[in-house]
Amino acid sequence: MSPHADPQATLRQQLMSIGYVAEPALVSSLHLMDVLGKPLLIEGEAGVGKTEVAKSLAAIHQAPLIRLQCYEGLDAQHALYDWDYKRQLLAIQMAGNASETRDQDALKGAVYSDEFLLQRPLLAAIRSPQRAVLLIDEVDRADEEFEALLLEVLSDFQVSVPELGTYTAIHKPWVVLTSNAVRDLSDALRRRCLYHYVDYPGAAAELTIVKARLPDISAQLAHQVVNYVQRLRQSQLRKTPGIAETLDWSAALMGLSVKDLSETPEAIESTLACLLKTREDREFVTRKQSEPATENLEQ
Amino acid sequence: MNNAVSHNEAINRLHKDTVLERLSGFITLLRDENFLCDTSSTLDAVRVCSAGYIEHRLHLRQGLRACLCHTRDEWRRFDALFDDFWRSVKTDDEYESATPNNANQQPPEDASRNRLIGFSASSDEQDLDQNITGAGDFKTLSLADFRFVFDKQQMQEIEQLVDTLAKRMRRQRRRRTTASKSAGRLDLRRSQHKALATNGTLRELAYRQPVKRLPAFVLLLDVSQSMEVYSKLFLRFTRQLMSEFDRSQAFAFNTQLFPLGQGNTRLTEKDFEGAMNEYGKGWLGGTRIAKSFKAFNNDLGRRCVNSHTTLVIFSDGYDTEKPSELIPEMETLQRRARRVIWVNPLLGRYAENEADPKMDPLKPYLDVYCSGHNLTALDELGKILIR
Repeated sequence: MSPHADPQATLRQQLMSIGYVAEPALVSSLHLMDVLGKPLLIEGEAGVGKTEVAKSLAAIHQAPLIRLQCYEGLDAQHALYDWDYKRQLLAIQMAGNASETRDQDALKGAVYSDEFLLQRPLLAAIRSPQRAVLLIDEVDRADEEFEALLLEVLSDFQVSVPELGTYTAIHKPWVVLTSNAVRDLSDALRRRCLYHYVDYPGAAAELTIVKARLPDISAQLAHQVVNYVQRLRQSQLRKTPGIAETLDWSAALMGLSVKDLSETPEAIESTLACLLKTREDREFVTRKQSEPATENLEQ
Repeated sequence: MNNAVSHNEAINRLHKDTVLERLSGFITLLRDENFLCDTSSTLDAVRVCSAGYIEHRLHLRQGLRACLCHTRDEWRRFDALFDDFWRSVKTDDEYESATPNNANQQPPEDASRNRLIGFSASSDEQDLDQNITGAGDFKTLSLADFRFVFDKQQMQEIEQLVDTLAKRMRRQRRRRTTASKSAGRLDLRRSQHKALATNGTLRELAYRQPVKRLPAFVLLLDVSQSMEVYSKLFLRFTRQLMSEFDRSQAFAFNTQLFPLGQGNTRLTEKDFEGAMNEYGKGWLGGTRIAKSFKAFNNDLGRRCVNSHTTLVIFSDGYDTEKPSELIPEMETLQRRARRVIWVNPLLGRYAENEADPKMDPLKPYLDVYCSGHNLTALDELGKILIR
């Protein structure tokens, strides 16, 4: 047995125990995060379970999950740290009333202290007393300037606060970055990360996921749901349903007490909202519905 | 005993040296294939091997892929290169878990329709008589397809109107903010700093306002034979756009891609002609759009195109290569650019909703698909560009 096989198998089992079915390549990447101490950049279509990787990692390590949701215009004040201005103003005015002498340096030292520092997700992860999982979600939505900001955090696991100094991570967090590849990320950021691409799962893998996440689902229904979704993915839809949609749809069908889709084809129509997220896709599938949908469910 | 130990060490060292040598060769191969492998990646690869991944080929593949791939494209190509280099036979189960299933993402290849560029009857031609009368009148000229405007005077007037269109474009506001002394959103952080000097009293306020930057354009011009009648106008449009917008770059392509210039230099028509003559071997030859775009994506795309860039392609879409070869390149361009606009002057000749086998597979990767066959269409393009 190779030296790494055991930790990988353990990791896979741990992920499975909390309902996350990970492909072997992903397990390797997660294992290498520990071996190399590097962040993991996960790319893939929306709904394939990228964010779930970080959540699952936090669950198996029983570590706090610190999440930074990225968006255009995200800056240091929302990602790293900020100062509590209102309290700072109050403190300055109180200090001014109490003392006649205005020692600006002392005042500045008092005001720009840890007491008035508001930690944002990146700094919170660096300063976390316990090793945390830092999820930087949809990093492609942020702009290039923010990527530059991330470089120091991801390569050295430290954050510089000009007024206070540099904070270095007590425990290096597990960092997971996710991207829908809406925008290309910079080479500098990519080079600092391990990389993993998550694709839509095959039918067998998706069936395992559905059964792991919804243990009460009947084998017949799970099989039909997965077959239907797999066939939908072959169509030219505007928004291809991901695993999240499969699980939502399965849960919806279970909520309607559907056991067998071939017996209640109308259930497909009434629950399509869980799968299809655009009007065009809905119309396309509804048009096709009458032909192959139910008759092919058994395939 | 000692001899045995030293012998084992020697074997281990030899084994290690061989592995490192092979690994180094593999990374060199990846670099030759434009992978983003730097020294840090190499060190990571060595550490992956040291961590025991070397003992199982599947594990080695997964481990090296995680640390040597940095993009989806690299991820897709890695397995083939790995197998090729390590001279092993791949097994189905390895591929099933490793290779992204992208087959369903690409539209099926369609037999290309051999549509000739002739002056076939179209709605434009039916209106031709009333369109081209009265040179110099914008309303009249604006509907005339550029291919029918051969008069030098008319051409000059059109060029001037193109100049005016380009000048209408103004700065874009961005969500990122910058410090301002007088206007914008209150900046408590800076105001607070200033208040220190006045014992906490906010006497002087600081503000932040959105950054305004000129839009960045990357223009790709098809200068092949099929675009001959439109190329001059589009080149003029491009030149004017580049003189107005510092962060713009232009490239032309026919059977190969070549640069026309950057926006921060004042380019004259002679500069353009010089570039065309220097690279213009294929000026009247065929068009290799997929090859040209691939060259752009591999060599220039990362530097030239980012999420603030509007990419404008002037082309009729006629390609000597298969549409399926162009799709991955368009996918890359769409991912990198803020918007991808394809200006197809032939679009003005087609009826609305008419199928176009060469362009239809590309439409999912375009934000805007429009015609630029007359001034009205170019005016519309101008509005799209400043949006």
